[in-house]
Order: sequence, then structure tokens, then C-alpha cells
Amino acid sequence: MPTIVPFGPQHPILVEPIRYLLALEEETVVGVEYEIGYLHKGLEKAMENDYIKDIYFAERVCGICSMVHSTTFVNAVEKLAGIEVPERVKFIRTILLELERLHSHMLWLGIVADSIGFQNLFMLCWRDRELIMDILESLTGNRIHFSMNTVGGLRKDISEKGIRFMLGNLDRFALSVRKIENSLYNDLTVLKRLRGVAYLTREDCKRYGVVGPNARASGYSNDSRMDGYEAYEMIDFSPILKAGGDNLDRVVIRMDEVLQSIGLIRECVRLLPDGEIGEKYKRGVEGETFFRCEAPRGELFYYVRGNGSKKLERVKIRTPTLANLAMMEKVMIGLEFANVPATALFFDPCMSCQDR
Amino acid sequence: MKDIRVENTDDLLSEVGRLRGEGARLITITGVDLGESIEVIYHFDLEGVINVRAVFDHGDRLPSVSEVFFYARLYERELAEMFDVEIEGIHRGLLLSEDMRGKGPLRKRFKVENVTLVSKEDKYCPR
Repeated sequence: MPTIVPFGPQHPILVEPIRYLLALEEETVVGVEYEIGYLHKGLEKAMENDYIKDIYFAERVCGICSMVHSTTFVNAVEKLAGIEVPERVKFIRTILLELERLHSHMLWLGIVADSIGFQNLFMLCWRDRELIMDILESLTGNRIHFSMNTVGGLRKDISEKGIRFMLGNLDRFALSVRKIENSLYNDLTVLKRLRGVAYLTREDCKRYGVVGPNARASGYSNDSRMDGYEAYEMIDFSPILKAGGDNLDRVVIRMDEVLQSIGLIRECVRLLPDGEIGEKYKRGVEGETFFRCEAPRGELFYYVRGNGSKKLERVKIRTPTLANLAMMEKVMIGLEFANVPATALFFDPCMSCQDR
Repeated sequence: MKDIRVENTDDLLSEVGRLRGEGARLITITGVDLGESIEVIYHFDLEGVINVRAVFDHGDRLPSVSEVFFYARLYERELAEMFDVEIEGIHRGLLLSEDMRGKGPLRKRFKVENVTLVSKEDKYCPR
């Protein structure tokens, strides 16, 4: 007879609330159930509204990846209205999206390091994340909710001075990442703690509908950036894949993606054209469409339906964390109880996104 | 975008089964209230997005695709509680609190103004 142990909704390791019910036999997990909805805000209902106001809501779905939410929503409305935004807008959006990926991955690595008891690395990661936050502040004026997007373009341009500051900070950041990688991969305790834990094969990823870096860490190629939205069609890159599928590879793939993102930003700055930043679109939209972007955590999907006026009829948001939730039933089973808190974080959950 | 419209439950299940066989991934399930009926759209990823659409009446019992796609259960639970519909073998309730059960907040008839909010104090410490 297994013992039922609750994990969450409030737990020292969890930043946001989610509740797991773990069935334990001695130290091993034999069954798991989850309960979500603690952060449900009713945003899909609230977004049955003027689409300009909806940009504000879309940004507030998540506190980490606000840019990717507004970009996906704005792109869906632009697709409905048949607007082609200027090239400069596409490149600036891409730069901001990649900067967001950088700070999201560094935040994740910090929390994960904290969860396995590596306090020093936690502080290093969060110190270096500040370099990215400073860049974002100098480019857009804000650290988290940039409010840069609008239907038809951007609300303001980025300055030459901001770009110079960004390139300088990125060089410092890249050096720090190399140092962190060095101390992380050569630490025997970390390797012992991560290697072979919470193993997921490519077939499991398909079966449980896993998206984003978690899928790519198991060799399941799944990157919406290959759809070629914004400037991604104009820059040459391919998603990073790893075959291991354990917690160690989930760290390695995100560190590699950080370095890849730095390269993508530099490439975008090199190709950044001069020109307009678009015009605000003010007419109604009709019909239905969808759009998907690659958020730091995986594929983000928006479905938008308009009825000819400025007010939208329906907006559906599918966030990557909700797609990744189903596999928890697979990975948790067979784990030792001591590995459960770290594993719950290793899949980079964002409850705010998940509950919407 | 490829659109497939299905007429009845059997067609829906066979279409979903065929897509699964071809290696598609279910992205999500969207419900749209059309007033008299509800349109359910299954979004699949198979080198681009494929939409499978079905229209049901509000009183209908919807079929479940969670036999084919294991993880569809999450999306179906959300669909059932947000639109107040019955889905075969799926129990309602994923995100909403208990006092919102059975109201179907994404239905057209649901007005935010008519909701009376129960404060936590009244709920847990009744006078």
C-alpha cells in the first residue's frame, strides 16, 4: 500500500503554486497526480476585447516571456488584417525575443542550481542575468514588460547608443557563460546529481506531446523558429539537438542555446536595416487565424477570431508549460523522493503561463 | 493552413487516428461558442498546422480523443469546464475554482458583470 505525500502548492522549492500528489513506496515514487489552476486569471475571457487593449493582456500572461506573448498575438492579428511589417521591425522583435530567451534560461539555471543545493552558481547566474536586464532596460525602457509591440509595428525605435551598450554587455555575458559552463561541467557532485535522472526517450516525447528544449534534449526536433516568422527566415541557423534525454542534457542544451542566441543577436545587429517602424493599424479584423512562436520554454500557440469590428470574438492561448505537464506522469515515476523537487523544476515550468 | 471539416463523431475519430498514424502532434483543442452550437477545432502539427473542425450542439456528448492522444485529456478537461459541455470519460475541472463549476465562463451567455465574487474571508471564515 503506497503512502500518499502531497508536494505543494506551497513548497520552498516552488516559485509558483502547483500541487502534486505523490504515491510513494519507501523512497520511490510509484504514482503521481497534479492539480493546477492556482493562478488562473481568466485572461482568455478578458481578451474578448479591443485588440489594442489585448496586447496589454497578452504581455501579462507571463512575467518572464512577455515579449513572445505579445509578438505571437500581434502577429496573429497582423495575419488577419493582412499587414506586412517593415524589415526593421522584424529584426528588432527578433533581437528582443532572443534577449528574452537569454534571461529566461539564466533565471532557470539559477533556480535549478538552487534546487540541487549549488548556492554559489545560483548567485553567479542571477548576477549575469542582470547584464541582460540592463540591456533590455536601455533598449526599451523596461526590464520585464517592454510594451514595444503594437499591431502594425513597434511603438518606439531602439537607439544606436542602446545597440552599442548591448554589444558590449553581450561580450561580457558570453565570457561569464563560458566560466559558468566550465565550473558546471567539471563539478563531480553536479554530474552525479544530474546524469541519468528523469530519463525521457524520443518516443516518450512524441507520446506525451513534449515541446521546446525539453523535447530537443531528447533528440526530438521541435522548434517553431524554423517556421520562419519575424527575422528568423533571414538568418541561417538550425535548432540544437541532444540525444541524452536526462537532466544533465536539459542543462547542456539550454547553455548551448544561450550561446546560440548570443550569435543570433549579433547576426541581427549586423543585418539590422534602417527604415520605418511601422504604422499603427486601427481598423477592424475579420476571420480566424493562428500563430505560433518559440517561447524560451517551447512552442507558444495563439488562436484568434475576429468578427469585423475591433473587438475580438475568441482568443485561445496554449502555452508550452501546459503541453509539458502531461509527461510529469512519466518522468516522476521511478524517481527517488529526494530527486522530485529538482525534477519538478528541471522542465522549466511557468505556472503563470500554464494557468493563464 | 489545411482545414478538414468532419460531420460526425466517427469521422472525427477516424480522422484523428489517421493523423496520429502519420506522426502528427496534437497542439491543442480550441472551442468557440457560435451561439446555438459549439465549434471544436483540433490543431495538429504535421509539417505545418492542420485543423480538424467539428460542430456540436450544446447538449451533445462530445467524443474524447484521449484514447488516441494521451495528453489530450488536459485540453479536454479545460474545454469541458470552460464551455460547460460533457465529454465522454472526462471529468470536468482543471483550472476553475469550485464556485465557478457549471457556469462555462467562455460561453456567450456568461457575463462577467453577473458574477458575484466571494471574498476569501467569507468563504473560509463565515460569520
